[in-house]
Amino acid sequence: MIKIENIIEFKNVSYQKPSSKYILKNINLNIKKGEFISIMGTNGSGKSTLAKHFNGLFIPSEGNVIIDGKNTKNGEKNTEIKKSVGMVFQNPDSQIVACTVEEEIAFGMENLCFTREKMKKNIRKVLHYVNLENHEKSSIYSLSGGEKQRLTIASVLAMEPEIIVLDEPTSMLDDQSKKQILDIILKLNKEKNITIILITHFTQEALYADKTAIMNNGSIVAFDITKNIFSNINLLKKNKLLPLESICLLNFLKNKGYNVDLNAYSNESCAKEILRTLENIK
Amino acid sequence: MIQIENICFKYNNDYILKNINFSISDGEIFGIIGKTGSGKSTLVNILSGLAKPIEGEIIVDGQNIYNKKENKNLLSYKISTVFQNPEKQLFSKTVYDDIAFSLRNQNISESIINKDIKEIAKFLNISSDILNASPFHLSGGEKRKCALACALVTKPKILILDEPISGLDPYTTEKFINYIKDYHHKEKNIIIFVSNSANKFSYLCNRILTLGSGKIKILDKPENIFEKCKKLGFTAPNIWEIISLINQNGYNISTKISTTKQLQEQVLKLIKEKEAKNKPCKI
Ligand SMILES: Nc1ncnc2c1ncn2[C@@H]1O[C@H](COP(=O)(O)OP(=O)(O)OP(=O)(O)O)[C@@H](O)[C@H]1O
Ligand SMILES: Nc1ncnc2c1ncn2[C@@H]1O[C@H](COP(=O)(O)OP(=O)(O)O)[C@@H](O)[C@H]1O
Ligand SMILES: [Mg+2]
Ligand SMILES: [Mg+2]
Repeated sequence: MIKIENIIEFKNVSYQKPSSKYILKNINLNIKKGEFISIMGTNGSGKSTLAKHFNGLFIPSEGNVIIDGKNTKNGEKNTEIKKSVGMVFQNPDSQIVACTVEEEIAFGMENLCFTREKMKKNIRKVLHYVNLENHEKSSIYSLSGGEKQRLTIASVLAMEPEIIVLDEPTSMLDDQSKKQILDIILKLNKEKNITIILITHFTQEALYADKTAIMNNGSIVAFDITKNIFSNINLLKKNKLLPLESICLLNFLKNKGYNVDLNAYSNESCAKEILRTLENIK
Repeated sequence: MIQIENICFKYNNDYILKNINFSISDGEIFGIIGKTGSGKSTLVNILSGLAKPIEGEIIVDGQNIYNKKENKNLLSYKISTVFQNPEKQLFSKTVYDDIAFSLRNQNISESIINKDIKEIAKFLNISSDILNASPFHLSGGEKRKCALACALVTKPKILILDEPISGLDPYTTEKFINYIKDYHHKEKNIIIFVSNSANKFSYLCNRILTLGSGKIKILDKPENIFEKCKKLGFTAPNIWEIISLINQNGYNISTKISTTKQLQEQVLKLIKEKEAKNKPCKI
């Protein structure tokens, strides 16, 4: 039998700050290479704390985090883990350190001692990937919020990570920039087989993922195929997550005895279901 | 009343805002929508008295806010702003002290302060653990909630909220919107709501202005703004979109509906009406 390797393993992970309550409680999580995972949960449920465990920024108080076979507790492996796990946070302004686009992308690679040629090549490649070509020399101040966030993704990408963890990467962005970022994330996952962990408050974004985890009060309370999660209205409500309007409407009609497709998540397909029901009335 | 008269603003040599004119009446909830970089936060800074425009005037109840003699106390008592980055507004030892800060400055008694804080905390889902925690030890969304509590508790005449729901979970967002609704019903104050998209909050607005490249694009009622969302590069709220897709096929559900429950009732009503009409008459 072929053994399928988990690229990420959380084994009984708990975490607390000195003299404070447990922020994470007995987390077990296995993620395979190339999977696209989303994590949802209310404010304060522990998502960002969990995120910081993926690259060894936080070390579990109890239990172990194994990234690609390396335990984050093993100090010697720290650089390797930091190289293979890229992090993108909510506010691009708090992540950008350099003055120009080119310098910003070079910064991370310099720390990993990439050669000059390789750096040059990667800068061009990643800028193309996030649709920022011709911005090499641009000043950071001339970029819009969406462009800055694409730059932080480019900087992470340049370090050639295997895993990218994104903590609410679009919450400061307008709808078009949100969509651009999500399309880039999906492309990284599908084309480059990069494992993606996406933390978000937007159901529409979580729906891009293969699997979704729900956090509540420091624990993972559900981890399943994304569609199963979002069609389970009771599970969502129990964890103070709002189900999509479309799903609520369709479930409501189903309960009233109408035969509607409960998987019509998008507004378009939901409206189609309603119109079909109306037309079927004889 | 706030009059914004011919405002211009530059960073370096670029115009960020150009010839902005509008006014907000007493009691109005006023929305400002624009993409990232369109100048929303710059306008917020100007309205909050933090950045003097290179041209134009801001008149609040007849007083020019950038006229030093007139504006004494005006800003601190009338206008309260929640900025886009809540970190910058929290500085006390505990969240409780942060929320109490401006009330204590007004010499309000501790027992009243305590009552007010408990009330706002309940509505925004701020637990007593969080009230006693240091604001530096909070999650992103918790910081946002605390910054909102700081502003709301002072019951300002003019409340400016710069992207207040970014980072809030949908459940807290819903609670917050309901709270603002009740709050506004009681206070009848001016609320300026700034956002990078049309969302559930937009339904509460009397009027919405959209900003693009430093200029006013449209100033209109929410329903009319939703209608033009696509053209402007925004997404309309889900409920509005579902209704509009159904209505395109000859139905007539009200586009003012803003909750899932209302949507469910209206769609069911539509179905029942059609069923009743198509029932063969019994003789
Ligand atoms: N330095 C700290 N000391 C003590 N408690 C902390 C610290 N940082 C975070 N916490 C607490 O840990 C819990 C989880 O925080 P975390 O930032 O992981 O939440 P989150 O799920 O990312 O929330 P959000 O959706 O608001 O970003 C919260 O209750 C928070 O108050
Ligand atoms: N301190 C600053 N120095 C120079 N340019 C700035 C500064 N702050 C904002 N800008 C620029 O002004 C424009 C408007 O920014 P802002 O008002 O923050 O937009 P919004 O809030 O709509 O996203 C952007 O192009 C931004 O880059
Ligand atoms: Mg967080
Ligand atoms: Mg802004």
